Amino acid sequence: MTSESEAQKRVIYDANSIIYHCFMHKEKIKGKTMTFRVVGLTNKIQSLTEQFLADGIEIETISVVMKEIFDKGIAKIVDEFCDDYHTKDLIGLPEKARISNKIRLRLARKTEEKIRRLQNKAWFKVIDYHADEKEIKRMKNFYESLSGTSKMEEHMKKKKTRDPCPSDVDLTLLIYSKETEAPIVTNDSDLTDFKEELEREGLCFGIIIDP
Amino acid sequence: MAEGGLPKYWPILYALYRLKKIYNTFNLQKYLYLAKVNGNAPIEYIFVEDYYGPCCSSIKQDVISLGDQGYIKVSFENGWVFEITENGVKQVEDFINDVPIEVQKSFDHILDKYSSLSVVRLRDYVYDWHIKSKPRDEYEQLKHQLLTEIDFLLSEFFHFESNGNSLFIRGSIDYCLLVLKRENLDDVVQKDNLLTIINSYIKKIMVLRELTRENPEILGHACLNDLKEDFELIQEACVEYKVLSALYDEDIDLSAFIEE
Repeated sequence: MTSESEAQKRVIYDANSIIYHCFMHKEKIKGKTMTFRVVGLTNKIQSLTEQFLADGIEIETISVVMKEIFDKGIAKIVDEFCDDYHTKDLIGLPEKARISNKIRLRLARKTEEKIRRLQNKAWFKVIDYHADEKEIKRMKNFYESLSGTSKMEEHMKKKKTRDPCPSDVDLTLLIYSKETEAPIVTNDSDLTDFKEELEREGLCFGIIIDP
Repeated sequence: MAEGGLPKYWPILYALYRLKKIYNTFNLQKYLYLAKVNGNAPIEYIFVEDYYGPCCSSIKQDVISLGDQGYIKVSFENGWVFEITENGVKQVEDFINDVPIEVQKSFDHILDKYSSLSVVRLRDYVYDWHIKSKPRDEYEQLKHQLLTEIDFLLSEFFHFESNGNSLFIRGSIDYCLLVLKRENLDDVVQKDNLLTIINSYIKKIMVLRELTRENPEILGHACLNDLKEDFELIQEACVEYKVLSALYDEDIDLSAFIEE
């Protein structure tokens, strides 16, 4: 356990927060320079990060989150970005056109490079942490106990899933938050939809919803 | 054992001892090949003809083994990077007196001469020297075959779950497709070289597709560093031969790359 003053000096970023923070790329198309970013998310997480740093708050994440980012997270957000009609509109493509695989790979690569540079920043730490199996089980029990509630039914419908439990990475983040007494910055509905319950049950220290 | 009881891996450590750091397996393979053939160095590795010119798979295995023993630091930065460690330097100093002076001189000459060449120029040199050009219509047939294979692979990998690896494969073969459509090289060595490395790359992806046929999820867990290194070589060749900009270049106009 950490003391209260220590706990207040750090926050934990989940995968999306880190990716959105780094997803800002200047690109030239037909001689015109434009900025690629995830509208409504990149700017907000960057402002929030600046605010944390100004307040002397350290930002950290855990190694399983970094693995998830490079394995799947970046690809997922690049695809979402490229399939968004705002992006196609920005670069002058019709809504039905598909942005090429080449561009998707280029954006993924640029995002990866920015995230690797982020790992070298003094204010950003990656902690090698693995949760206890019993704690994971306890978290799963909590989510399963919500099965059948209207809130969980709505959540699963929205996520198009039949499993009430989030990924093991999300569960590990919650456990880490509880252990270190630091809040998680996230927009993941697996966590944000149950913020009240998770905090009330003391299953995590806190959830900061971004945006 | 080579001359004077030298360990088989001696030329790997020797090359690194002289150059300190070598980028990508292709360069290492070619330095050793040239030292053996042009420099008459007593090198035991047997080289066979490969898509990328003369190659010996034992070299890569020995490099990994030397890395495990702490003589070489092996890392990956878009391509493999090999760097000699302090232990590696000590190891070379233990055997260097067994390497005849004239062998050291010829090996040094090879390293001086070829280590300053870009990877594409080095490949051209080895190719020019060893690979006989094919009739022009053979290239057209090869291109046609590659275009068909890439179309097939794009449709196959389109259905894979999106992850870092599937996105890399789709993006890199899509780049190769554009290269083949744009390529109109007159220089036969360059044409042969470019088509050969793309052909090799596509064949490897075909094998990967076969391996993942029953269980596509395993693709997400595979280490694709060797393929990533190959893709870097393809991009470098495209830039060198002025066929197409590298996909990863910072300062390019994306117009040519945007739409499918």
